[in-house]
Amino acid sequence: MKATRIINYTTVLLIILLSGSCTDVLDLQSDSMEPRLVITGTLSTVPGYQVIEISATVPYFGQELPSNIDADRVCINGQELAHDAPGIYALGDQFAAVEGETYKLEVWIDFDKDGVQEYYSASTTVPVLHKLETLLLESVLPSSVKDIPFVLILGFQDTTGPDYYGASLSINDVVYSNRILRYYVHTLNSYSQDGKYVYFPVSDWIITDALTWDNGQTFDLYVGDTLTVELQTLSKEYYEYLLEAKTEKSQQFPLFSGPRGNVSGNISGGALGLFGSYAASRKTVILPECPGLPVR
Amino acid sequence: MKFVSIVSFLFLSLSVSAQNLYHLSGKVLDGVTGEPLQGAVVRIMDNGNTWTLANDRGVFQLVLPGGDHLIEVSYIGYKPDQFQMKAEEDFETVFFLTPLSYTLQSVTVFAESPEMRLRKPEMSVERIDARMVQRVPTLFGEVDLIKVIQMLPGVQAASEGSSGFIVRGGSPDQNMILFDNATLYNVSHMLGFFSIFNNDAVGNMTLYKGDIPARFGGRLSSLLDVEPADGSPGFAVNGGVGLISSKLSVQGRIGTDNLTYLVAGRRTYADLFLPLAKQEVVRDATIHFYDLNGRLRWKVNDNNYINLTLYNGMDRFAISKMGVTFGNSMAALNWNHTISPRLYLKTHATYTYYAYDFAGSTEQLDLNWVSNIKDAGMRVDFSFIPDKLNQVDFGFTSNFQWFVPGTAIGSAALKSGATVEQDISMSPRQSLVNVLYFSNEHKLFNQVLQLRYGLRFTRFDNVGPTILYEVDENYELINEEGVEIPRGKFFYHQYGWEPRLGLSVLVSPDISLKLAYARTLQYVHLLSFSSAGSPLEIWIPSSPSVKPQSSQQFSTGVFSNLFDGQWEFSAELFYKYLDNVLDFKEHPNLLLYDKIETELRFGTGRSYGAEFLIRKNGGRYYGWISYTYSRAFRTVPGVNDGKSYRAPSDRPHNISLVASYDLSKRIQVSMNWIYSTGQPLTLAEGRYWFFNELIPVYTARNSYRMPDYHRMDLSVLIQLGKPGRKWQNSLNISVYNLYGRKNPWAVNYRMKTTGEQYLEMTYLFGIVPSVSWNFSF
Repeated sequence: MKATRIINYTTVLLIILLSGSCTDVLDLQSDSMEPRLVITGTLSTVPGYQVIEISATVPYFGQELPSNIDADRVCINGQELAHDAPGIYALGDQFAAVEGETYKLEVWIDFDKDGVQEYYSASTTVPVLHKLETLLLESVLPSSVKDIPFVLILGFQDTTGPDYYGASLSINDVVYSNRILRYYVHTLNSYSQDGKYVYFPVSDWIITDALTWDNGQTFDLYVGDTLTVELQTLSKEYYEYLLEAKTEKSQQFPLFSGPRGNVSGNISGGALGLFGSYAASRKTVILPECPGLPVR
Repeated sequence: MKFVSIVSFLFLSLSVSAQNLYHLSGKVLDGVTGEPLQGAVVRIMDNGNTWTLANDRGVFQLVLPGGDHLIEVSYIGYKPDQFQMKAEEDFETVFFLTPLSYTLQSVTVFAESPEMRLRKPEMSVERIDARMVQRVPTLFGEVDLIKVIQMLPGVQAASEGSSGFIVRGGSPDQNMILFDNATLYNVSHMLGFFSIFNNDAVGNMTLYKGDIPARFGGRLSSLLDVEPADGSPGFAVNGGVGLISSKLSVQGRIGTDNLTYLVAGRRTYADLFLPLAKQEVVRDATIHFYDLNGRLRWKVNDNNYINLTLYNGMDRFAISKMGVTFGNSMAALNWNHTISPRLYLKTHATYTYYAYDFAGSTEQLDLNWVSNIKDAGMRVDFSFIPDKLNQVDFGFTSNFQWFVPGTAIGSAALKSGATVEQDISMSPRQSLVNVLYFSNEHKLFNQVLQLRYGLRFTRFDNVGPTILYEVDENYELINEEGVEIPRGKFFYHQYGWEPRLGLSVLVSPDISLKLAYARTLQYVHLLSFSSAGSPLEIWIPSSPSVKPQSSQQFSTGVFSNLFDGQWEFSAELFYKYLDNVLDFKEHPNLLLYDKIETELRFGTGRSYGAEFLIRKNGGRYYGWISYTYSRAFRTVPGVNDGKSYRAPSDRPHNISLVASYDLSKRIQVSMNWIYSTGQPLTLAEGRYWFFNELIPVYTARNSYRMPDYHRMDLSVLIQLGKPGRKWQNSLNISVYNLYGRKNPWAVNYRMKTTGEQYLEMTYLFGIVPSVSWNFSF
């Protein structure tokens, strides 16, 4: 129905066709690049602990993992943020961004250690909330009303003009979409159903008794578990950043994949990363009793 | 010293014209089908230096002194003919040559005589006879002409197993592929593992690698001109049974020898084995393709031939009731008319249709995503021979193209009563391309020097209905909503000039030097990254914000025939400059996005290189070895920070070794070995955390390479029937990738639990043995 979904199907077909193909470790590594400054932060309309994070890149094929570094000063709309931990600058425990408001991030840091501070900045305007009004759990099997696998259907009123949507899933208050590959980016945006009441199925989350989790583990589901979906109306730069980052983290196939490239951020001054925002609302459904779903 | 030799040779050649001379002219035709035999050699045996070549209408002209002469006419794959004549006046005749059975002889896969390669003022051209490639080692036992083309100098496969090919640093979409003069947009079956060309239905193929004749154009890098096979008057059946596909062709006459037909079909049955798979999803899958070819040839009289070619082919991949279907349909009708012995006319009407759809229907869900391209064309080619020194070609072509880049409509009825609907469409686009062309092949100094010059003039029009999106210099939309163009309105046009020039100098009877220049324009553009024969390709025409791509290619070379034409050597140099070459912004949105103009980027490109070929043409051993050095770069503002970068086709070193040996009259052994530098690759050099993922950071596009590609294939062709009998059958045993080289097809990042990254490659094939049994009666 949408391009990514069709590609998913076609990819399955491709995998079948190439079921005789194999994989092997490729003994090839890139050169190491000079460290670059990374600034990331997203503001949400949902009250909570929100931060700006400063870090530096590390070589891609090295064993070292990126770690945070401190800036000399970090401000949003001229107000200096509190330094909570290495590289972490907080807006407060219950900060909530305001719809329609523009926020300007400024960072001063002597990253290149030449004794002179460099200046970096970015702006984001918080989008208007599109409230999640409908959340449905539908069996994907023909003739079945209550049977796994399920798909979650989101419904809300779109507004005229470009809007950008994403969605996050929590199960029993544990964030399942805590990694970008488990976060849903709605790629149709405004050009498909502009200004209409939109329903869309989240094809990324096929609800069974066990969802894929990290390191080959599964996230097991039981009757009565609560599924909470947060619909996020994203600022344009945040949406594009998420989309590109997700592409970069996805499997590549010569049939569909383009050349790899940098995820484009909006930080001025040559730093990597992003300063974005979103407006969010939530709804919850409870997993019903059904064949194939165990009782806790 | 060499200069003196050349001048002396020219002088001696010119001195011939002072004698009492007569013209011998006529045609050389296939004795079975009546087809002209382009490149047939007509030679005066008592004067080995006097000979000529038949042109693409089979017409030749020869000047010879008075007296008795023995004339020989020869053509590769045909029995030579000789006749005695006394030259007292101008003389006109027709030679009919009888084709040899390909199963009984040792010949090369090249349908072009060594003399023709030496003399013609054209270069970078390869002609392949479809009947001659039976013994080339194959993947899955299916002989494929495209795979043979990929082993020619200057040509490489776009990726492992693919039907796509790259020519002299170009991209696969820069190759024009014509089947009986009809334009084809996608020639892949099964993601490129097979091409749509059934060997039994193809006569021969000509690949122009840059020096494209003025009557052709439309793509920057090459032209692959595929001619269908004609049916013979005698009833004959050919067939083959392979591991995953079978084929059958029938040919004969309808009432009279003047009306012949050929029908050929293929089908895979790989899906027959899927029910044996362990996974349920695989058991329910459908994977197959078929294709059907038809050819009707009517010799109305000696001056009129009418031919009809039909093709239909389709692939289907499906799981349960949801799947992808794609395929081509094509029809071509042509009329060859001899207006006078000096004026010929060929008229072609063509229609092609390529479509794919992704569709499925269940109780709850309806989905249909379609995309298609239609191309209706007409071309009229005149050939005029005003005198023995000139051949003038002129004519016009007109093609109307309909593009439906993509329409996806889906609906789902939810059990809750709600309905999910999606309707995403790219607006249709139409274009009209009209072309006038003229060229002349001029022989000078008794054919020692041959000059070919021509000019092609194109007018391109965009036609409504469509929604026109225009972008500014920053690729931002000028009008977000676009402008609606009504049906039939011609709203934008462009003109283009494409000069062509070729020069051939015969510096000795066995050595020629050649030069060529060609400018080409491309008005249609492929929006795809795929190097692997993806069916989901989107083509769009040029428009106000999508300028035509252009190319200028300079090439020069030396050609030599050694040991009476048994061996050939050639060395060519080329330089190609591309303008308005198409690339995409990083992470573009190419599928079902109507404002596609915002995703495109245009820049310049250059490629250059050298090609060397040594070929053995006959005897028990034959084959060739070629080495190509080729570089290709792009500079596109907005890509790679505007810096020059390697094109995906930049693979500097390429070696192809093709060898065949007749162990006996019944057993032939063949081997290929292919090597090329690894494909350019973009690799991350840094990483940082975002959203609990390590995001890669790149410093330059395509600055690394995959490991080098190399592979050896082996085949044994065993003739099982006794020679001379009508029933013939043979066994072809092939091994693809004989030593099991793991050639990377895709490369992906992986991370160990320690957080350390590494690269993982996917390779398609290990050692792939196959057997096919072929028969004819």
